[in-house]
Amino acid sequence: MSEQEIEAGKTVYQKWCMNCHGEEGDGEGPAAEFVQPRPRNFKNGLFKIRSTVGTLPSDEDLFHIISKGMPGTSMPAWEGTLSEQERTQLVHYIKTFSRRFARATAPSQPLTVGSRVSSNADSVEKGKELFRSIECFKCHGDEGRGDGPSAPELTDDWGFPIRPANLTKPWNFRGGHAPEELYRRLHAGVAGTPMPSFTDSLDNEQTWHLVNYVMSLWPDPTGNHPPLKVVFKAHRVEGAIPDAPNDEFWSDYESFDYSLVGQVIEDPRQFTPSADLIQVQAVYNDSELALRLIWDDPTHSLPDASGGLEDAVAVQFPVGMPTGAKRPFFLMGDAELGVQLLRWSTAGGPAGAAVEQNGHGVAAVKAQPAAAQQTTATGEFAHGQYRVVMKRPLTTPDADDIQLEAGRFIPVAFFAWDGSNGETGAKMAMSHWYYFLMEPPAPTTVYIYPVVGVVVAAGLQWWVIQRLRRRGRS
Amino acid sequence: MKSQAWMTMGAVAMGLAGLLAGPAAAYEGGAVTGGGSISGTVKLAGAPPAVKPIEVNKDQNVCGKTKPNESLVVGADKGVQYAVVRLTNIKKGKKLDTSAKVVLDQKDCRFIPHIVVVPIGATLDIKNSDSITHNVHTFGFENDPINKAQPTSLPVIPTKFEFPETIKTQCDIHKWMGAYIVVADHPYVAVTDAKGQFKLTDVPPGTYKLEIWHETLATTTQEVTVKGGADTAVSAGLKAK
Repeated sequence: MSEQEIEAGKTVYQKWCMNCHGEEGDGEGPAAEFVQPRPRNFKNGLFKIRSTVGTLPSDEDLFHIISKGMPGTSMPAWEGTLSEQERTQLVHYIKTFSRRFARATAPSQPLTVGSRVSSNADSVEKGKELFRSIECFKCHGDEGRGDGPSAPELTDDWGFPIRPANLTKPWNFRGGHAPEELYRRLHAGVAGTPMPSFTDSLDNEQTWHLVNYVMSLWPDPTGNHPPLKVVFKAHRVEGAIPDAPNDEFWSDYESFDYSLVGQVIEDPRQFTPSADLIQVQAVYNDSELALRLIWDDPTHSLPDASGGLEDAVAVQFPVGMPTGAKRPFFLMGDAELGVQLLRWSTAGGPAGAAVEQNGHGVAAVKAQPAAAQQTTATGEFAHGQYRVVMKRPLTTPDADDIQLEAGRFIPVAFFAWDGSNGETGAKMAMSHWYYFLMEPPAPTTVYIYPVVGVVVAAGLQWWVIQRLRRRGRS
Repeated sequence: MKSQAWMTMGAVAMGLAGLLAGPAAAYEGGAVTGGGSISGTVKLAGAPPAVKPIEVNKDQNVCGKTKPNESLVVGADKGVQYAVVRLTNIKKGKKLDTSAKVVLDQKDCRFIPHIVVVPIGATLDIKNSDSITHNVHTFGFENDPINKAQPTSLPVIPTKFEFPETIKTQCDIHKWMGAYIVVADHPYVAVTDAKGQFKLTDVPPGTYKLEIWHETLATTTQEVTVKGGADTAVSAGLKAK
């Protein structure tokens, strides 16, 4: 690589990369403190995503990450912005930040990905057993949600706190979620982080069993983010709805997945929220609406005297049915149009407790008076995941409540707070407005018309047959 | 608060990697006749701080309830254990024993010894004597950093080092487990014992720079003159950083 090419790489770097990675490549650019995980410091030649046996990545590894970006981080894909030549120049400039590259006598050797062991129940079971025996769960948690006992204390090689991957969310995997990539992560480790290399302790078959087990934890075998459904539907049911968040009852009803992002519109902002997804289900009967909310949180946080903060979730509706396209500001309402929040938090004891609030902006949220509280909720935390069931009467006598009506499209939004991540008040994860629809029960005519149709058709046939028989006789 | 402390430790380790590395000076080993020795005691300058044992917050059935905090061990008469004493500018002297088998064990969720000296080219057997998984994560710069899982199925990881360097080492699963691997390119390196005492033997007569490093105290250097067949006594007081 010529000096000119490296110089050209420097120009590209200073235009596009320096704000996060710093002029000296030390990961201390002006934007660094706002991103989580932190931008990489290039000084030590430690790069997370490698296909190599040693610790230095290959040029192709660096080119690949620049081109494709790193899911779940602030590192974007540059292939649409920078030409192939520019990205190649960047690779060579980045290598000048660490003298470990200059000292290396030979190019990095690629590690071998052995022949694939296809996934089946037996392989997944063996992978699950390995997950326990080699103690992946110590960081990644019993069910892979990144909530293991060692997780809260983990730091990267520079001393910054770092979270183990939530293995149930492959769309956030830094190096992608192709099976071969998972294999490489297990063998190469993730340099600069606590994730070690298992190359000395796993053979080819064992590695594939583990890969197959991890893939079995995904909500979708493709590893992609669950598809967005804009309309969140509540199904009409007859009879009582169970309170328990883990009741089998809920397995019969469709789940809707909504992305959550940090609240960065108003101070205090949350650039690095804990939750990035909430799964919701809804049913209603003749008197009440029930919502089940599921989201991942690595720790069960309870409020305490030493400043510990509670974990919480909230569902937001406008106070009145919106007229036309006008809705309250999605961030907890505005001065003109208010919202109602059904909030559950761990503040109310082991199962948590619900409170109804009204908001006219994120700084103007108030609990309703005790007499106007109708929402009840029960929550459970297990293996890095909350499950909460909230219930509210369809209609209430309160002017500040949304009155729920089947067949209407009602704006709905979601919020989540992870207390151990410093989230409280405006510091939270939030969604945009979506639509909530309580599907109207099918009218009785739907059942009567087919019966009438069948009877009429049968009658006509009988009449035709009778006529034909009579003709035949005459 | 906790993360701050670790950030500082991380920064210190990075700094150390840079400081202690230096260019690998060619050292010539051979037979030493008529050499002298350097012995002494490393003491703490100032009042010993109260160092509390580390509370173990996981795997208590294997690790126990507490671990000694080895980041500063002050014995009777203020002797400092785990200080690394070395000559920094010796070019010629006794042979470096590269065939030595050196062991760094992980036992009861503790690295034993806390500081291990490994000659360049010698094999360091990193062992796991516990019934649970550890990971060996080194923060080397000159030497390739390693981070290897060590489940019970992998009792020994033989490791070699190429460059002189003091390498911070930890287990991320059990964050209290810390050690230093001192890679030496000559044999005049010693670690102080529980009384703070050390001895370097078979030193060819001459004047040397003697460095005393400790992970949490300020490093000091002094000049030492060695005469044939005699012992040179050294005393040093280490201050807080």
